[in-house]
Amino acid sequence: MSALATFENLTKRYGSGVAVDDLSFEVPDGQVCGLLGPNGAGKTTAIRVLLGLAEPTSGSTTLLGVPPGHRTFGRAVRRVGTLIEGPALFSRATARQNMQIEADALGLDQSRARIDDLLKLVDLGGRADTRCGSFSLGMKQRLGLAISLMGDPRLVVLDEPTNGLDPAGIVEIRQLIEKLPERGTTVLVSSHLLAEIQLMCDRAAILQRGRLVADGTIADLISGGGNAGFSVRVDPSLTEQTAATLSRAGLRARPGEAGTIDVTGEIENGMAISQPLAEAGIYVWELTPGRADLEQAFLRLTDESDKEETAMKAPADPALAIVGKEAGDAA
Amino acid sequence: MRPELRKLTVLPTPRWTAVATLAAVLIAGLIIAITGAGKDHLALLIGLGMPTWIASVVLGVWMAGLEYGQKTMRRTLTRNPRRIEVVANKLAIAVLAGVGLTVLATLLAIPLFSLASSGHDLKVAAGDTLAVGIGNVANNVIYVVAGFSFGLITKSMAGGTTAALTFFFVIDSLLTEIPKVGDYMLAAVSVEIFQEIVGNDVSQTDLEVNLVRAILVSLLWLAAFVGLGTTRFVKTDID
Repeated sequence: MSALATFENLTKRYGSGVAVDDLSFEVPDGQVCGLLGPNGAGKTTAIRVLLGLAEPTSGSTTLLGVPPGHRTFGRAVRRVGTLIEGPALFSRATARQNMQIEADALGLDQSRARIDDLLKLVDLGGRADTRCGSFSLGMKQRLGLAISLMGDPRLVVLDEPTNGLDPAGIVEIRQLIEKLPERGTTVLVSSHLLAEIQLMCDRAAILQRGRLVADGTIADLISGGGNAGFSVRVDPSLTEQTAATLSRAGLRARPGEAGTIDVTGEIENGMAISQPLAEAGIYVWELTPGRADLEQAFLRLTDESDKEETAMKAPADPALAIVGKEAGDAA
Repeated sequence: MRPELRKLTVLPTPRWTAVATLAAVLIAGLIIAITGAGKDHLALLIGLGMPTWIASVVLGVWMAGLEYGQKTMRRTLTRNPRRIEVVANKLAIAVLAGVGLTVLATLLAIPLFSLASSGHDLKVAAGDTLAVGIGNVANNVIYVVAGFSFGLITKSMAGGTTAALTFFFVIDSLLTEIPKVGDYMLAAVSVEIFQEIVGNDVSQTDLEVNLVRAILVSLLWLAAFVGLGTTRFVKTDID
């Protein structure tokens, strides 16, 4: 399977800030690939470098095998549809005129029928001759998606395509994206909406503070999170005691609200939780298996990444840490 | 170049600029019909020259600044990542639009001003209007290119318009008053070119014209403007 987009040790700095830090991953042909991360994780910056809109500080990217700046990059990028940080529309032009500008830019002739087909595909067939300045955000996003599909691209790069959409709009866009591989179009979609990525993507790369935290198929990412644990509910007055008991039993217990505790760790079945609690005289009100999903995996992976970063920043010798602290206190 | 031509034809700013320019010429014609053309060819210089001059600055700034205002530059550059080619295409279409509108306004003014002035002692000759039109074409190319560059430098339509008008009305005009240095300002050399085309009588100026020097100085100014705008455009990341 060949890669339609690659990032190799990509770093992008703005002054002293690092937007993308040594990022390496690939977008395989024929798949819907997600770029996942919280706002400010570096997703949009990575995409802008990929498309030649921003210069990398170090490292490289390729689009359909061609790096930005190469003489054939123009040909490559014209085979890529894009929707970056919201639809780039001429608000005083109609939907059709916006698409005609795109068709002209791609050098497409006889584009009227193609434009009508794409507008119908995104459910804007009846609004083709309406100025898009009057469109709702959802309609603009759909028009942006239609524009990105002009010229039957090999790859579409969609940055937060469901931003600002209502639930029905999100479902519509997701269904459109899911169908694209059937048309021979590979998709790279960035989002901070974990559930959306899980539903529409075959694989995902998770970014945090510009660094790649994990990369793989959605199934691998979720299963890599281990079992999803259990949720235990006890008498709320016993929450702290329950958490302490479970910790002593070698499990990770995170107290929540109203006597609920999320328990993770080496848990073969519910007995691993109920037994130590029964021995401590705590009776379980509810014991519910946790749901294994991308959200759980994301939280675990980003949490691990945080811990690693903290450990790397901390001095190797604990004595030095104390000396440092004392020095700080003295100051 | 096709997408830039499409933007010029489908977006409203160029259309309204053309409407306002032609309306200004019509109003000038109406005033000539009522009060006469006045002395010193003011009707020609203000009724035809001024509207096309302002329109040229607006069209130049618009062609560059439009993409920043609409946040469409990233879309334009993902269709053609060769940024210098994008600048060249946009500049060519902006010059075409500025020249086209000046020609259109001149073609309207030639019969209109003649007819409007026919009932008065001082007539506006068709030949004089044509000469002013040709002089305007030469000058307006300068203003389109400068306006376009200011749009690129400021990355904004409003900022580009303000910068261009400030330069022409304040900075350039003031510096023209400095002896010797003033001879090399854009306002000074563009008046020389204009006078050479339309003649002393119509231009109402009596400068010692060195046409080659005036053209060279104009080209140097434009090269500096375009160079600065293009460098900023090529070297900076696109939001």
